[in-house]
Amino acid sequence: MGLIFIHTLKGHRIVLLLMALALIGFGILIATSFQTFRGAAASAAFVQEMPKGVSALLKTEGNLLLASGAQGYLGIGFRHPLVLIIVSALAIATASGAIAREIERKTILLLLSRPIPRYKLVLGKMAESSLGGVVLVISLLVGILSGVAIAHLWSEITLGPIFVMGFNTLCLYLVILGYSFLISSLSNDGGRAIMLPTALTVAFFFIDFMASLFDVLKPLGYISIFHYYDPTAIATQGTFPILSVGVLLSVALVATAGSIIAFQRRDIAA
Amino acid sequence: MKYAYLSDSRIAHRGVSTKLLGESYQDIMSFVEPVIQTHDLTKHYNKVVGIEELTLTVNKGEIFGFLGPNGAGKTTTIRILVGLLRPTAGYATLLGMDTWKDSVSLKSYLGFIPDFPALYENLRGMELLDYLGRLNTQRDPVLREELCERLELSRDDLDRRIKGYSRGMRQKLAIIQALQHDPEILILDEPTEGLDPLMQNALFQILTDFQARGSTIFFSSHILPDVEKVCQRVGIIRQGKLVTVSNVEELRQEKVRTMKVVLTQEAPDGVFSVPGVMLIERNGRDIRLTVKGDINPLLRELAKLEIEDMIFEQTHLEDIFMGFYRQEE
Repeated sequence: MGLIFIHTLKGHRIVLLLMALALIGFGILIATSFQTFRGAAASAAFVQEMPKGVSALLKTEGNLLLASGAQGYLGIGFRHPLVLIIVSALAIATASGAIAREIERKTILLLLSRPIPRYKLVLGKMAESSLGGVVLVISLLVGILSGVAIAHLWSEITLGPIFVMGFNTLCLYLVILGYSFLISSLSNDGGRAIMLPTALTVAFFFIDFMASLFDVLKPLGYISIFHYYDPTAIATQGTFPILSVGVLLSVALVATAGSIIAFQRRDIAA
Repeated sequence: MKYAYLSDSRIAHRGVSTKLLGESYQDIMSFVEPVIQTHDLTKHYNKVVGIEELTLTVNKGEIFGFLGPNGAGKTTTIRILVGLLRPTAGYATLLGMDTWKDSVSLKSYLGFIPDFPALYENLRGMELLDYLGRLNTQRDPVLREELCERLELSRDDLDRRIKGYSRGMRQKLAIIQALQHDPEILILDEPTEGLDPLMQNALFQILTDFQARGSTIFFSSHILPDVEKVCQRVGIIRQGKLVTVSNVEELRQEKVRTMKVVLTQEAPDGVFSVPGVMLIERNGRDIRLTVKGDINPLLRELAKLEIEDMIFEQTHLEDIFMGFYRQEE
């Protein structure tokens, strides 16, 4: 399993490095841009005046956020579309490459003719992809905290909720990774293994967005993974979202188990 | 040149006594046990039949040819043997182990060359051999160096990225990755593809050495001469069904060769009335005919004539299949 892990990591190192650098840069930008709003009151006014659609998109929480100042502003950063795109892209791309693309290219035949249980192959690749998620989250945190240091915002933030927001982001990554691996385990086609989880992720985001926008659709929001990813709430309330994290990790676990079982039982016919 | 490792060291390990190696192939076969077995092996892809009720046995120390045209079911059979496909019905065993249920255990004994082997393009040749060698935790790649030497893959070649390799070099690398850990069972799907005649001969010699040490080889191909060169028995598959299993010698008897003869002058009537010979076309001095089985009676007749040119066309598998179908009918 360790060899599979290292071999896969070697293949992804450049992409991972570039994505990590992008998130570090974005984190610095988010934290330092808080100053352009000239402090907490101005940023609160900015959030308050957001159109409802933008507010739903960034999942800002109205009055709760007003009181939170820099902390709430950083929470919006975690929910920024760029962060969501980078996190989703890495999860989907690595999962697709892990199995479906190996089958499509037939390199899987070389691996499966070795005395390695199939579940170890999936776990080795999944461990590498998970490490990628950890690297991304740490990069974002490093960027944000560097930005905080540059903008002299230490007095306006509490570190605990920032790390919890990072953990919530990692949980979101693991869920996307889990169902992307499940689809990849069932597919012979790398392209399809990218398109299906991408469509699913966009659908989840859309459902969450619509549920935030229209009260009548609010119950639908619970089926979206993004309902359980709410950094701004963590920023403003300062609590650990046990339920959200529990739901995300449970879905990730079930999808991972499904992926292992599917790959264990499937034919390699391509 | 003597290649030390393949030539001697592991005979005892393989369980084949040195006495046996001094005997004929048939003598050896009478002593040894079945290594590859399938019984009523069937694989359907939804409604499409891959293979149907395929039953065969390959004995220890045998090179078994598996012949069939493209799409006949060779690769399906091989993928079941390697544990990549689960049979719809029937079963397959290697060394008595079920190829699906015990697939992890049996792979320690297995060397596999897929058809059109895909390799990791961004790796260097040596990196690939190292990676795949280390994945086989039970065995060291003891034959790597010798195989590289015999297949003429130099250290410089191995230090290059695979994406720069020619088709032949890729095939050599695929062969080495499969055989480097000295497996007991070799499952080879079109192993000569992309190799030039010299390298094909080198491969045949390597396989013969493996056989001498007690390895069992399942050699799948659609090229009849390749199979004739190294195999003792041949199974022929067509449309998912095993048409026949016979000795190569029997296959030769069934083989129908097509021959083109150009005479210096027109031949008298009745000159080709030889048993097994059928005249297909006669156009003045140009004659096209088929001959089944022994060609010597025909050659004796031809020796009486003045010949300008004579060509044996390559025998196609379909010709042999047609021979079997005629028999069945």
